[in-house]
Amino acid sequence: MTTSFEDFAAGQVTPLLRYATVLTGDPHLAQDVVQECLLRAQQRWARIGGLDAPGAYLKRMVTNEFLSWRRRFKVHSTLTGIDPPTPDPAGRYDERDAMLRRIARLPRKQKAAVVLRFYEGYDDAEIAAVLGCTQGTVRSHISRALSTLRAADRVKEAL
Amino acid sequence: MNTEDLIRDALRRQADLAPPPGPVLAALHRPRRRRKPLYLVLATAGTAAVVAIAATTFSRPTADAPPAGSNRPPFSTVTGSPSPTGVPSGKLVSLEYAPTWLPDGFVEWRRSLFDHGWQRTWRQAPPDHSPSAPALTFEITRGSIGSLLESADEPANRTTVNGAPGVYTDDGLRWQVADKLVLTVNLDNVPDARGTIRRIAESVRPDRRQIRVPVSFGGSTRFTVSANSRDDWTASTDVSYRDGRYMAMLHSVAHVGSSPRTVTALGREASYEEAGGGVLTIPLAPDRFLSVGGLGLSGFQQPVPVETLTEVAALVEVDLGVDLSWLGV
Repeated sequence: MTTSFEDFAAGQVTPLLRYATVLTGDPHLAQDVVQECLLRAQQRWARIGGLDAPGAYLKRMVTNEFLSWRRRFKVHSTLTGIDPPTPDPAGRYDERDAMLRRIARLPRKQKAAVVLRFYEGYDDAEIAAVLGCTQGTVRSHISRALSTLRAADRVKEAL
Repeated sequence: MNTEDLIRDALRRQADLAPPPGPVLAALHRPRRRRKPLYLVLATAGTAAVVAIAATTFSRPTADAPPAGSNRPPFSTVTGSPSPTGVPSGKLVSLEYAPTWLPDGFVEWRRSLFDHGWQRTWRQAPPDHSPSAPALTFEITRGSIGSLLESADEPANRTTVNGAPGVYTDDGLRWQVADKLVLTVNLDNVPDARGTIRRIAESVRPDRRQIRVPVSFGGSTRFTVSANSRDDWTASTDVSYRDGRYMAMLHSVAHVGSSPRTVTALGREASYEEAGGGVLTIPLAPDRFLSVGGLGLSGFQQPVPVETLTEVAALVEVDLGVDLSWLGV
């Protein structure tokens, strides 16, 4: 029996909001994106609700919104481009926020691949299904992204 | 910590900034909310916030801090008993800075206070929250733009705002207004916006007005107020308690699920919904409801028992007289 849209939305909204926040880097933008995607899904629920994995379909919708709206999705979260006032005693604040800034500057598809791998825990096949590309392309995105993100660490160590 | 672990850690931290689900769910049901109750679902985690609810009447105070001895209504707190016993906390926070000029038609619909600063959003009325709609964002952030200035790839992107060093970004302008204090103006989905952005930035002045935190837990001042209209708004805060995380929301429109169960919580008749992980909704006053649920990582979890949510609710502090005079203005 197809789940009602209300039950589906109730169960999926929080994980979608968390995913969209990680993808866009902006909680408010994430709310707008998820709201718009759920509204569209609501209108098409007769079809979407019958899919094997409507949750995965919604995640693809959110991802496609992020990938397709270049200018409107420019990340300007409060933490991007701003150095923290003081490092926390363990240095974790510095490291985490520095990494978030580096991730924010990745090309869009690389960033999406990184989020799907390291936040959602998806494998190559699952990432390929979301991004609509081959697994080889997924591995290329991840490899290039990690190379960029690790290069920053090497520069930091050298200093 | 290797790079991949640091990536995971950083992304999880970012995910923790996710907004509450209530406003999104409310928007899905908005056309029918008067005929069919809304369904607010908060995936649950393990902390309880106590909500103290005063049975006093409330008014709408001004944004200015009240002078000593004023007749302004007290901060309303909810205790676990029918009559309030707690001492109102009434945390006040300063707006710090604010733009004094805005383009025609932009009105404020959202305010967030994070640990690192403010974020305020204006849109054209009635609020169009779609990502393609014009949106103005003003942010106050603790930190410096030193590295951003150094990495500015074009000299034309470096600038000053009222003498303070700044840099243009793709959709905005960011400047170091004071030591360890950065201001940002972003204007999205407006063509040729740089001139407008500069005018907004140059209009920013210190704003010493203080407002009360509308919903709080454990002394935290983090909150978000967002609205679909002036009479349909939500004030929320995240709660970390023991080993879990919850969301506490003060809202003006009742959100009732598809199969609610009437329960008693904090001496009041309340509604508990198991579906979606469990959410407890307690009516506090006319057009004032408190909902508590958990923050989880995936849907369809085991619902948090009403007893646990009641414990959480008992620790949340709310301001029934929350000042929303800025909404839609």
